[in-house]
Amino acid sequence: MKKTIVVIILIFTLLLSGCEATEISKSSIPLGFGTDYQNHKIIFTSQLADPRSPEQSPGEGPQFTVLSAEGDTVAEAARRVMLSLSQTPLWSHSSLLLFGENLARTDMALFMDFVARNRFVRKNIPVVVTHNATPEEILNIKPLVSTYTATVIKDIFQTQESQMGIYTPLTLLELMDKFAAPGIEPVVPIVTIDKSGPTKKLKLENMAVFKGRKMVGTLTEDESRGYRFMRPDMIQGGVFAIRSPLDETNWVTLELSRSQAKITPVFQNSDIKMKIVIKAEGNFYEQGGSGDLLTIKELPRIEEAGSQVIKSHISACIDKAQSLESDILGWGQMVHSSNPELWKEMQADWDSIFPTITSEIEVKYEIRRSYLTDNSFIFRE
Amino acid sequence: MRYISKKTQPEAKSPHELVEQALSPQMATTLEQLRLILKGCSDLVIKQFQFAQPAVHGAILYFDGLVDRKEIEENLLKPLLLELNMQNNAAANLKEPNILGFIQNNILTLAELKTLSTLQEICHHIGSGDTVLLIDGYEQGLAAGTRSWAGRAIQTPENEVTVYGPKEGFCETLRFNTALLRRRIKSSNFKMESMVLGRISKTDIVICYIDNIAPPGMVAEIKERLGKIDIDAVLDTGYLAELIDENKWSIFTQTEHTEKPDRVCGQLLEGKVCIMADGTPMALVLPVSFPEYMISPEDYYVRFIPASLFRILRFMAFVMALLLPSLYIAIITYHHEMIPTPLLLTIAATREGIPFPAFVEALLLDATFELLREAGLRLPRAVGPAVSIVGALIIGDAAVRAGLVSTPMVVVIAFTGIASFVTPSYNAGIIIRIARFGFLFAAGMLGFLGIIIALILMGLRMASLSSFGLPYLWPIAPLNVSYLGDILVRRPWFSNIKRPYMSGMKNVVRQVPKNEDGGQQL
Repeated sequence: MKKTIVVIILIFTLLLSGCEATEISKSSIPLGFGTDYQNHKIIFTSQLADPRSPEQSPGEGPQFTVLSAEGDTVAEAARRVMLSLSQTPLWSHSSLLLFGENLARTDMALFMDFVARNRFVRKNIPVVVTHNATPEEILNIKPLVSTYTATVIKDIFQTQESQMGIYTPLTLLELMDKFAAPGIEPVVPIVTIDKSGPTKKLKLENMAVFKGRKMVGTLTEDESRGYRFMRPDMIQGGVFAIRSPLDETNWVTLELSRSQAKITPVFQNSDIKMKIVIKAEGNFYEQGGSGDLLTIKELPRIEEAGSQVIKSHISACIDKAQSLESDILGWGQMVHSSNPELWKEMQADWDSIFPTITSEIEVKYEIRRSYLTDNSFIFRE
Repeated sequence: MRYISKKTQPEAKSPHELVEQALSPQMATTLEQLRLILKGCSDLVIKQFQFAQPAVHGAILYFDGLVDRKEIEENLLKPLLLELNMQNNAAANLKEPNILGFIQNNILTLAELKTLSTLQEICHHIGSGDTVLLIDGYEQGLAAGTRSWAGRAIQTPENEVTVYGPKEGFCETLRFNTALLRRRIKSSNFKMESMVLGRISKTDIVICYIDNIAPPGMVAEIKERLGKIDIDAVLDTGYLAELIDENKWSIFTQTEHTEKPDRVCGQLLEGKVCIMADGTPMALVLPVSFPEYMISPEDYYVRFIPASLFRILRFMAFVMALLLPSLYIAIITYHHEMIPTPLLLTIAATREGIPFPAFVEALLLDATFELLREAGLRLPRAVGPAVSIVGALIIGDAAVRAGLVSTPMVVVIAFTGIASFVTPSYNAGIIIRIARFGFLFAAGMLGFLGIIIALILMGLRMASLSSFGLPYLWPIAPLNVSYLGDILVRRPWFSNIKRPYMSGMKNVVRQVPKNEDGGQQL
């Protein structure tokens, strides 16, 4: 009896199998895909890998194919790609999602439903907005050293995070959350084509600020830095420059090893004031000019200058957000969690309240070590 | 047939009937009967002689090649024919009624002598290499232990190679093998019960166990099942393994075949029973549970830390040998999203233009690998390397170049092949090899779901088996935590106080800790 039950259960599990066999040789691998909106048509673009085995010579030309199709809906446009493709795409390997600035400024609702509910699209892939170029143009650029454009953009995010520390990558899941949750708006990095050199190359530049379903403006590099400092999680890595305390014409590079923001709303009567406390640690990295800076006397001045720079980035970001009336900093959520009653009253006209909120910024930047092998470089007198 | 039977004399008995008869007092009659029974046995030697005064007729019988002729001459013929006559009171003594007894006790200098009283016994003893002495006027014969034949000497076992530990291996002579065991376990509790099996072969079987360790019920059960065997010949212990197995239709065997006496002794000390047969170097140890197949005797000869790491490695290799091809198939046919993109791209590049689905490809390659392995076993030494080179070239290179199979698949199958050689027990290796194909089919049809279903079914099947009271998955199921510590890793000797407990086992104390009182002395 027990055996029969077990066998029956096992037989029923066969019905659960939802996947069907797809031979790799009969499928194509899209590494990234994007959408844009032009002339009331959705344009769907996908970069398909054209893998070459190690035995074959890599050869000239890109190892990928970019296919685009137009349609009234995203799904239709995506399926139209198949008109010129013999193999089934395995969407789960797409590692980048792009959307054109045109689409972003029109209405994100044209696109979000498709990616949010499609089980083949991974939700942990980064999203970017393309500026001055369509997704098709971005994907068609042959990357400088690597093979595939889509993976390159994903990797750029990781390296710039620890090396430069300007932009905050955003995954599809975070984007969906921020679109859906009240009291917070998404900020999406912008990728553009740098045409200044002899060859076209990809470049991360600025971040797109959304409000509701539309893109409303951009954050500049410094504002993006400020946005990054106000992230709720600990950030690690990045460099920034300050004026040298010894000589105002020289610059000193400081490295950020870790920084943690603590943002709390303070309620005074009917006013809300955001208290932003940043605790940052970093290293002395480089100085332009000579003279010993790493002394007990100079060090607090460097730290103070560093704190001022961070503070200026943060306030620039807040100003931009308030001028765009877009709560990208999630202050609405913070008010909600610390004072739900008040939030209930405010939620309806939060868009008009947000620009009026004052903030108090307190930055404490400390230099811990220098990682330098020697004292400052001394030139022959 | 009728014509033949008509021609034979009605009073003459057939050899089969004769064998049952008791010895006749007339030696001439006995010899006549023996000649009839052993007609056509050209290796039979019968030497008739007279000895003592007054003359007594005697005869010795043996099979040439099975006896030590020098020993017969020195210790049997010489005392009778020469030394008896030189003794002063020989004549007087020989007047006494029991000449046979006198010879047995006072004359012959052989260590092993036995009185026989039927023709059957005589036939059995000369067949075993003894020399039988018949003396006219007696209804009994004497069997003298003169067994000696040209056989393989004790050598290092070729199939169970170890780095540490004893290098001796069993050979085809049962007595050598029992001696190898007795040299290692000198306790009087170490029993070797003998038995003769095989109607025609009359093979000597020895059942070894340690009396106060092995569960008595289990020993009795094994002896009972062996006793029920009625087969014409037992040429290897493998016959017995299959004949006494409870689960005759199962691929999951619970016996261990080994050529290493130290391995047998280790198992005996854990309460197992070993069956050995004359004419084969393979000793049969039973019952063995599946996790115990992963133990190599060598584990206990090296320090416990490296031994434990080897043990873990072996379990990993087991999983790999069982599941690697099916996991690969499942991933690249059903679950592409489970592997990193660069790996998928590499696989996709190599699979371009491969005519077969991955499942068929794996099946072909795995079958080819099995083919090569089987060929490698049977090939004469001289051509072995040639074939393996051809196999390696064809599979590894030519097939890939011709676009018949993809490189990753070759790598997967090669890894699987290597991993399947890690299992110390050949029996377990066979189980893994068979089960692997089942998993391959399951993965080819349903992907991971199929693998999981196959794993559940295999687990259920394994958990439902038991042999001689030992569950197949013991000590994992039923859980025996204390012994599990000596299966997954090798428990250090200082904490290995107790024997793994099998039900019915009486003596479980392996070590008596010095600081503690009590504890049972072995």
